[in-house]
Amino acid sequence: MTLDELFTKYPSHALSTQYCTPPALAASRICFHNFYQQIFPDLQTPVCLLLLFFNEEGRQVAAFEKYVETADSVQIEVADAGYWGPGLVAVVAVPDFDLVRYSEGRIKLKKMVGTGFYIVWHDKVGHVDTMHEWMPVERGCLPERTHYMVFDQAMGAIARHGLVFVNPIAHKHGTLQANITCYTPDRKTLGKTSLDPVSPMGSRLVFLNDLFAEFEGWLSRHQHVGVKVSGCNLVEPLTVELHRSGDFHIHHIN
Amino acid sequence: MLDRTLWKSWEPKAVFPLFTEARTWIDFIAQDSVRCQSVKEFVRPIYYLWQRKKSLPQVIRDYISTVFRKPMRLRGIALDRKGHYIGQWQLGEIRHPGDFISVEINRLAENEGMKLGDGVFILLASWGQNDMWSSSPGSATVRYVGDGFIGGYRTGLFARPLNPIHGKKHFGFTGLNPQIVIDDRLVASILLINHSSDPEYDRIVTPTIRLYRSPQEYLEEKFGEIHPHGALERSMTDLFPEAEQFLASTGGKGFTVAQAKGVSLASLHILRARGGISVGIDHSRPAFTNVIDYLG
Repeated sequence: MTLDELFTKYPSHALSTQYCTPPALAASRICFHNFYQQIFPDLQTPVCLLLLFFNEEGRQVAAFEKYVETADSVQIEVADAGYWGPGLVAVVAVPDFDLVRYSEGRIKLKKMVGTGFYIVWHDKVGHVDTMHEWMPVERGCLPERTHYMVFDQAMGAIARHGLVFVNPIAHKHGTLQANITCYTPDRKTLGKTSLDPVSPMGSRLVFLNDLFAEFEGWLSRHQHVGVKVSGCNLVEPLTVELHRSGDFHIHHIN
Repeated sequence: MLDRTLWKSWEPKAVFPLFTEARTWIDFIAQDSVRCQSVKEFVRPIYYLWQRKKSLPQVIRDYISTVFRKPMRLRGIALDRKGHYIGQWQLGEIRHPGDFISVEINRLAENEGMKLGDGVFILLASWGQNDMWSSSPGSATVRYVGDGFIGGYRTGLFARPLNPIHGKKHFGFTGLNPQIVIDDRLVASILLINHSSDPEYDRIVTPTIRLYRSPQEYLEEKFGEIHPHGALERSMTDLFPEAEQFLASTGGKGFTVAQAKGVSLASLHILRARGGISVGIDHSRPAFTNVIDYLG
């Protein structure tokens, strides 16, 4: 199953995405509850959960499907599903029942039905983090956008600060191009750079001290550093923080 | 019950837990939406007034903030886990996209001779966007940092009615958590917050929770009393002493369904490493909103 096949076969279903971390950082686990039973409590609501994996260059490298019975829940290690990461996973729960008929007289369906899920990033030692699903796959390009985020030194506890640029755009011209600016709390510019382009359905983890050699020094001096990211086909990136102990924290902005 | 003047119903807010073992940093950064960007956005408050989803005073406030470009002031209130008041602080103000505040909550308290333990922190903004719930133009970040771990999450601020003391009751809370794990490294827990848009809210809530290993097989317990404006975290092994054995056949994995009638609760999913070396935390997301067009 490919994205194009899914778009054609299930035109009213949106695919939510998440980032599968590099295995050297953490393994990724997708957690899904078949929530349709909560909407239609007296009916059978099995679904087929489809996972499509894309490497950092945006090439689909694996697909996986799992039948989830009414009211059941699954936890899927992405390595067991055929890909170790890093990259994007796109997820959709396709009802194995007539959703439109079930909905008649009960609920008004969204034009694009989405799929809620969670991801758990975990390593062998026990470091762990979690997040809900993130941006849906877009079929068209996005105009220029700007996003802002804050990094904090946390009294020296955080060793490295990074960003994951995710590009869930399934369009041949949907290459992500971004400019990154760091600034002080009183809005003085500390540094500027450009990100190498990220392909459609691609992703990239970058650490700010690799982009800006002085980044940790800026944090020591100012305690907090604002980061502005602007560009075309730019959805909200994820922030990554590595604790000196080896623990990690990954989260969306906005 | 809190002093009724502690906040106003139109002030967007978000509620975060505080943990004894972590120092807590909170930041907020304004996105481009801190400034009204279109005619459609400008007329929205009038539309919501016409739809009776916003009151006239709320709409007047929206336009005062929009037209006069008032700075967004942020402040925070700390409570203990039973919802008792501890202290409050002004956190700063923002005017333009990219402006930010970032504060360490523990240091604010320590500067006034207070020590924060397990508790709740309410972040409030003086105004929000011209949408139905006056949502914040950006999200607040909470970072929990300990000697050996970091965790946290981000969420927006909203001025929506939650567990109001007058008017229509909420239909109820259902929290689905498919991330449950109990193994040699991790133990899952759930933290529920009995929030309200009304400082005088005074209802104690006792949800029930089921731990499932299949749709037909479950354990059920009372989650415990959650005081108004308070919070309660319960680990799976604390709630269900036999949980480890119960989930042995599924490799320590399962899911929970927590429910409370007639009340809205905020729900956080937490994964704690044994030995305290890590914590993963995120707010839950209502699954229904992926399917049902509530606003259509």
